[in-house]
Amino acid sequence: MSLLIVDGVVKKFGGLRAVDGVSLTLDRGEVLAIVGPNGSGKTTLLNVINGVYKPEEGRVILEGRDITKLPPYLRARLGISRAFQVPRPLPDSTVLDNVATGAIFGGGYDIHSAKEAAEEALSYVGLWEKRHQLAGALAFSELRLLELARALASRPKLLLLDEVMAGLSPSEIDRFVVLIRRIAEEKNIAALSLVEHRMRAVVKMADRALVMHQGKKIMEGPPGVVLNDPKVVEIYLGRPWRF
Amino acid sequence: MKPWLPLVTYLSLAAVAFFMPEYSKTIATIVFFMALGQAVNIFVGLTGYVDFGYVAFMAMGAYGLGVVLYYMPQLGFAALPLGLALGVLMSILLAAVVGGVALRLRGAYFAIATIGVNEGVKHLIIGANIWGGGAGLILGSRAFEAFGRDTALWLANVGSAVLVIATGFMAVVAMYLIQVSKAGYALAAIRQDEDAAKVMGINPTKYKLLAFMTSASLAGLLGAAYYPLGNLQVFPENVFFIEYILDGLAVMFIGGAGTVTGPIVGGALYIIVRTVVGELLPGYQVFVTALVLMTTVILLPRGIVGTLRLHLPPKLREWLP
Repeated sequence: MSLLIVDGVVKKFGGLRAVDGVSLTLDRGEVLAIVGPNGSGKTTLLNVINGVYKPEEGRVILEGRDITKLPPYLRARLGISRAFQVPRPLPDSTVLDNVATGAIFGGGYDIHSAKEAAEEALSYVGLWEKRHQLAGALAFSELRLLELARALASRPKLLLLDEVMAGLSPSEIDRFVVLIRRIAEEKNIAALSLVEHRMRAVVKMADRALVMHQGKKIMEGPPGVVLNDPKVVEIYLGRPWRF
Repeated sequence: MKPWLPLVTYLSLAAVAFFMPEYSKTIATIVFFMALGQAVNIFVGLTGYVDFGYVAFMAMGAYGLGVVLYYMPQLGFAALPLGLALGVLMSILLAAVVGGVALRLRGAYFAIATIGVNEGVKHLIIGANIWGGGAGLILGSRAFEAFGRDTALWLANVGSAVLVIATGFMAVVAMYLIQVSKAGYALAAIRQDEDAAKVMGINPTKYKLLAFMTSASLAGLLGAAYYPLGNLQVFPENVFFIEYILDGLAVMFIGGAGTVTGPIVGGALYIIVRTVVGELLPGYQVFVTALVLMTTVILLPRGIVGTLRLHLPPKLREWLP
């Protein structure tokens, strides 16, 4: 059984069909990259999966259960964790408390075991040394890691990564790609990652790539094949892409 | 977090009020502002929301005890616990109704939605002429009937002071219990980023409502202690006096929003400033306290205790919650 099934989802804003009949499936331990230019409906689709928006049509199914109408906090408890495009730490709380909060409410831990889970997640992403700092004092790339740790500590089955490589340097991106692959393989967590520009990272990170354009799914398949497809290159990249 | 400093402060004040009855009224007046700040802090300080209809909770508490004393003085001493319980219950119910609807709104919208609550309840009581209507409840003779003359006067003097102090004490305990529990983590997240909190698995409405109802019950107790018990009367124009929420906010911000010791420091400073200005420049109290509040918010946005905490080493910070 697939972990996540998105079935014919439509989300409209007035007359605009921001997501227009997109379907996809995702298995445990699999990394899917959703690729598309700015305004293609990627983030809206993520918000539908996350529960921030309710779709007008279609269903979202997690482990066989229809979650289309559940609010975000209940989806978090069922195992959907999210890292935001612009990191949203709790700046006045310590790094440890940030991650522990995710563990308590998303992961269902009590306070004591939440702190243990938080320390474990922080050492997994390599932020353990900074656990007593206030989150507001972290550098940008560390905030990205904090969001990842917070998501991990909440015992996710599915990670939603919204442009998590935006604003990182090439070497930081390489580290991030390795980390996401490790999470998927070692922890058997599925990841759905939105990517606008970092095509090289998509090829290394994702098992599959799905291309969106004007709210529609254009194509889906192995990243290397999809990103070199003339149709995708034409509508999205504008010129042939060579790796 | 170690809550001993604020708890011991309240206990000492209660001891003075109890053993030196000649100071009870003065202490009650001072601690009223501290306890008001404490109660407001549990909601405003912890959630970051502002409720302009807050005074209605104090009024509900005042009317709870007032109504029981006025209509059922034959209950004798049972009228006191029963009246307090009714007052607190009415405050919690009003908070549940207002919060259940309005706490789904964000910050400024919530504040706007609550502005009407205080005036609305007040005009309901006056207009529908319930609970004594605009004439209020005068409780002197009823209290004498229920408790006996001497006990009633002792309750009005010392008893109300002790109850006001007990309210502050309970607010510290409530604050402590919230901050060491899951609710503390939830509220910290909601205050800092409500959308992120939702995605982390937190149901914001639930925890905002919890803080709101806790805060309202303490405000109700404070209202009951101050008006029907302390002044032996409940007048709508007094108990719905909207400036009390401004006092409560000022005390909280001067002391430090979200801190436990803050409202004690803020309350003491607030009353000192008002008294001194009242002596030197009568009529300018509100003007000067407004200046003090603005200066504090600009220069010390975390308030006195909040700023102090920032500069203390972590070990000492524990002791100044």
